[in-house]
Amino acid sequence: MNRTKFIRIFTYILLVIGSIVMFMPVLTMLSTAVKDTAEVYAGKPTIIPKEFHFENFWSALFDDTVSYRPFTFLPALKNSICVTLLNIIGNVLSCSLVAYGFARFQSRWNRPLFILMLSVMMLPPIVLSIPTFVLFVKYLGWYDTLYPLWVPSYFGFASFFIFLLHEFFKCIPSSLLEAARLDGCSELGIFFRIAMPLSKPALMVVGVFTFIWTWNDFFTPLLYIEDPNKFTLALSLQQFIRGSTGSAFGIQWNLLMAANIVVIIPIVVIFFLAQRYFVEGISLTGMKQ
Amino acid sequence: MEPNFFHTIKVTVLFTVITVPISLIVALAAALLLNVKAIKGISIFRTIFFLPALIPVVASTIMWSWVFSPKHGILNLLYAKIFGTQGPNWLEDPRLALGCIAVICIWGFGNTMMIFLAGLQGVPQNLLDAARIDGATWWERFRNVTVPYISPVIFFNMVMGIIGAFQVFTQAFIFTDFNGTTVTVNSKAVHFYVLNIYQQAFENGRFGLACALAWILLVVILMMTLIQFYFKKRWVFYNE
Repeated sequence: MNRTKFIRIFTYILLVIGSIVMFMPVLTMLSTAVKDTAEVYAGKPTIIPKEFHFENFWSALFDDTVSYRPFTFLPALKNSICVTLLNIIGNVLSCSLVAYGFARFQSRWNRPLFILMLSVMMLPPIVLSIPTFVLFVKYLGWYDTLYPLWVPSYFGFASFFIFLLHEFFKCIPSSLLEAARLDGCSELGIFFRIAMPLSKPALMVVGVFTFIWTWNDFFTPLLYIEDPNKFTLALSLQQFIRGSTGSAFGIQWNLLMAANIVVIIPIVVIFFLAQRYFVEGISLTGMKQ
Repeated sequence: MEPNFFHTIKVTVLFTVITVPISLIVALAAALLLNVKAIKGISIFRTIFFLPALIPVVASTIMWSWVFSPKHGILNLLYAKIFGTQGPNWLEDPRLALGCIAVICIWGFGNTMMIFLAGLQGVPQNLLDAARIDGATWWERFRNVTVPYISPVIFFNMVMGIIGAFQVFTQAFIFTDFNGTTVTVNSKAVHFYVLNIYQQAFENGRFGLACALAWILLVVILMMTLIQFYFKKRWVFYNE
């Protein structure tokens, strides 16, 4: 089987080259993060730093004097975690409830309403952002608060997840639900004790994707938040660039990269913990950010 | 007439035309490589190829802008090693700046690749084997067996890719933040349609105008999608 061996080696070579290309920007980020300023701006860029300055992480995260607008790490971390957790709870509860209603209760309005909900899914976020901005800021007075970042998830805002869970709930055999009903279980009881536990894989997909999307979301906080103490990590990172543009050195790339690494790490950790749900979620539904 | 309207449309369409085909080809090629049987450590490669898709756009843009940095970036280090001269100023050049954002977007092809991989697993092995026994070359097998079977997946990725490319925003927004530093960006060359909507609404306070622009975008995306659905029956094959 000389031919098979040849194909295998050829594939390996291509995969390794591809991986190097894919990994190159990450590698420069890692190496820049531990260089000192002199080496960052040295004439010839180096891949492996001459000295390792791990204290860069300390200055980037906790030293407020390094930039005109420091990377507000601790408050931003707190805000990101709060908003993400609230969104996960909100999406899992509200989307599953709405989806269960659509999947299990028949009425004349069922179909037109479902199509209406799906058509919202087609709207580009920028189209939605302006009316929601007017609603939240003018009518509810939520400018510079964290509410716009998590309250919508409690009202079934994520139509994609409703659609996904709807397909799941439809596959639960009605005999199971009927049996519970005959045994005197209330409708909400059936939902919480039978439908929800049976759809655990789908709910995990909803949770994991909500985590990634909320953690990575930059646009919504950009629109609503002005107070540095209310920044999320993504917004804080961008403001860190803005703050450095006026300073004597220009941007302190090593500190910026250190902050960058800290923002990325939780995503990588979640990916390795919940790898199964990513692969399932993407290949089942074709979900994209 | 909104003065930026036609310019931003031109930039956005050009970006879509560059990015979508290349990222489809790259993602499909990666999926084909990862689908080769009996390769050890496949999950490591899959992780490396997939992870960029999860990195926050703010973070990946910062990462790449340093790569593109004319004096200190690794790209121009390689350029100097290969060609012996100082490389171009990637982000300041009106023609290259758009390509740089395209590179960042293509780099995050992980989602598309995963969908292709799922599609490739549905290609019947016995048909591929039969074609091989009949003496079909690799390209003939790919063209006449694999492509028809994954054509619905190609269609899906194309539709989603075009919808996504029309809405690119964050990369250009972050890039323009770098102006006035060691990395300067040609902001006109990356003036995307959605960036213009953002600037009109949230920087100039012209919500009405921005809303109208957003609805035009919706109509354009809808029309692009409908056109693709119209031509779908010519090339998409459903095994039913």
